Amino acid sequence: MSTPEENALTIRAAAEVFVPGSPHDPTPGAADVHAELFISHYLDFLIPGLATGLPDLLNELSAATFDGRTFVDLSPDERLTILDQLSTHDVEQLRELPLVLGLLSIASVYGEWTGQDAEGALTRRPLGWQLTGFDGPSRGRRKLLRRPEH
Amino acid sequence: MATKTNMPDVLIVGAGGTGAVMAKELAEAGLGVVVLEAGPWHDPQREFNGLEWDMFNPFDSLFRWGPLDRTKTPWPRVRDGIGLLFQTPGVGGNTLHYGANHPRAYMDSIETDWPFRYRDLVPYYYKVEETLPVQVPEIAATKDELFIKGCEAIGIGHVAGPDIRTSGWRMQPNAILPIAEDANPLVYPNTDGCVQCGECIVGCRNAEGAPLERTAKRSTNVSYAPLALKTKRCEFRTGVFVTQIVTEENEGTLRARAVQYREADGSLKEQEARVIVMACGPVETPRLWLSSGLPDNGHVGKYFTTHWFDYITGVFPHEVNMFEGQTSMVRAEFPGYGFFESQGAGPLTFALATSMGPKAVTGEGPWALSGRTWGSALKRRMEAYRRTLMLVVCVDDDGLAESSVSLAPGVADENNPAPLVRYRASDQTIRRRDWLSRRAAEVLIGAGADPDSIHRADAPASTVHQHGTMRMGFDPSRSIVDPNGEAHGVAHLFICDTSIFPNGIGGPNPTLTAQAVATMISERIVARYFAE
Ligand SMILES: Cc1cc2nc3c(=O)[nH]c(=O)nc-3n(C[C@H](O)[C@H](O)[C@H](O)COP(=O)(O)OP(=O)(O)OC[C@H]3O[C@@H](n4cnc5c(N)ncnc54)[C@H](O)[C@@H]3O)c2cc1C
Repeated sequence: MSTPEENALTIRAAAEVFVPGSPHDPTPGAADVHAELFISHYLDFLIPGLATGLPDLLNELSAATFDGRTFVDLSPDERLTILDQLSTHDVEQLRELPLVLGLLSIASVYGEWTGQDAEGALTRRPLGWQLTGFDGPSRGRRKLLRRPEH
Repeated sequence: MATKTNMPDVLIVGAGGTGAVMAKELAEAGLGVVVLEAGPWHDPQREFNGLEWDMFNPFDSLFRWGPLDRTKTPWPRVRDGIGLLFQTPGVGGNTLHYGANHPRAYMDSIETDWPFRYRDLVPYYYKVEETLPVQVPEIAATKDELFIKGCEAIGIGHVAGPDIRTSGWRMQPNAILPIAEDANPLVYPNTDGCVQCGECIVGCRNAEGAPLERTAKRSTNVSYAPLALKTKRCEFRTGVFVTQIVTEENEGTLRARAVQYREADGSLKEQEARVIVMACGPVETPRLWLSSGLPDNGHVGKYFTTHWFDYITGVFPHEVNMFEGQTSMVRAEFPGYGFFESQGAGPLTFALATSMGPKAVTGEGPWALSGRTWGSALKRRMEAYRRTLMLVVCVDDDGLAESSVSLAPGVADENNPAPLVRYRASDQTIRRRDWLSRRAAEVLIGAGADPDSIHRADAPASTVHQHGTMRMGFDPSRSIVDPNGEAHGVAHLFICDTSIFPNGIGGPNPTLTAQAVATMISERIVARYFAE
């Protein structure tokens, strides 16, 4: 059995496969925003206990494939190998998990979560907007409107 | 004709892209109508916040498919050969989320597989186009100007709409109010119409302060449903889920008599009506049919088509700002193959649409890379977001019997067994998709994109567009509804959503055609059951 801290690190390591940050990439990514908090919340929302069950599963597959090593100890490419294995797992319901992880990992960085407070209000510029230069939602783009006729 | 009574003349299940059209047409014809809708009737000004995750994540967003109480998990769906399923509850249905591109079907696609002629549809097209209304934008945003430049550079000429039989690019017919005048402040009534915010698929809430009926994007919650209410003969009951179509047998004929539905508090109710119309979409209509034990001739739930989308992107040396302007303002038609169009998106949609394909491969087409981009490759692509143009490819895909909606063994939600949604592509579908994707890549390069930046997502199939499963036709042994939309085997029961499409109309976006057909069916219902 892993500790809650180990589970969080395992989920963070999975998120880094999709959106790496320091030290694997020059700009901030999933690890820098503690994507594991966002991802674990939704995993447990979908199936209570999934945020602990999934790290165990990733560690089991890692140990079997890479000489007893844990998922966190693997290189990004090795982690990808494990996620690809999971997407062809014998148990049909488990094959969806890499897709869910990918969606949540990408959303943790390129969605708005990093700009929202606990009530969901947008209080800062989300990391994803900083990384992409997106201006955020608009109530009108003036340069594309018609000129008044009068 | 009857007015509204305890027993309505017509009961409609679902108030989405087509159910609301049916409600307005029948109520205006003088019938008493009740509409039962699984989701709420949103107030865009108050509830839509323009944030991609809050609006349409599949878990707990405003548009997610699940119980009204969003602290509860979404309804389970079983998928095979398909990525994301799009089902949006609420008055408006999937049109809450849609891009509002409203082209007509390719003419030949109706002539080949439908039980009527293209020309029979034309008056109904006009009626819907005027009611919504549908407009062709007079200006183009940067992304759309580049699209035109790319088409012309590789010899794709202009084609005049709206009736399409030949290839070419044209401005996008959109169900969006005309582009607004600039004003200060940019608030209704100073400003009335489309403010080019680029958020069509996030859920339209502009112009700021506009009354519901003047919301720019013409989802049916702001267009047809308010018109239905105006008649005072139509009632919308929201937050209720229909679980059974109740039938009775009379002298050897099966007829629909009522529906059973679940209130938000979990209690079950029954509502009788003289005629029942199913407008739940191609996943929920066959699910409800099968869960109700209605007759299956072996074709229920079959021949599902999705236009199996793909996303082709290219990076330019200058800003493109795909988030500006209506989501798509220009398109290129290729009868026999499908079409592609410019596609704006926020960063999250862009990232997800273009990064979930199979393992990446290089050197197989006019693209530098095809397939998923995760890791640093995704980061670099996202850094070029403001300089990227995205084209979405929609394929004229073949409806195969293996592509289907059935009941998933052992999986259920509180309403019924869950649907199992399966998608398979024919070799011809794959060839058409490759052909369109190559043309789209050439357009990007012709417009000035860096050839080394061209990326093909090779995205998994999704149900942004969905059709088939309850096909319309003459032959009761091979189709589910007749050319009037009435079920072959169940009298007084009609279907009007996109499930009745005998094909994917050649590739174009389906909603205008679905709404035109729903308008046609509404006339047939009046003629068959309510003529004085
Ligand atoms: C992101 C996105 C972009 C799109 N862009 C375009 C576009 O640009 N152009 C275009 O033409 N099309 C587009 N579409 C497709 C378009 O939204 C659909 O074609 C259209 O909504 C179909 O209408 P419908 O009535 O068949 O189904 P829906 O609109 O899905 O309506 C079905 C309704 O039935 C309700 N319902 C289902 N089951 C039950 C039940 N048992 N009891 C009670 N209520 C029930 C649902 O809650 C829903 O409101 C897009 C779709 C998506 C998701």
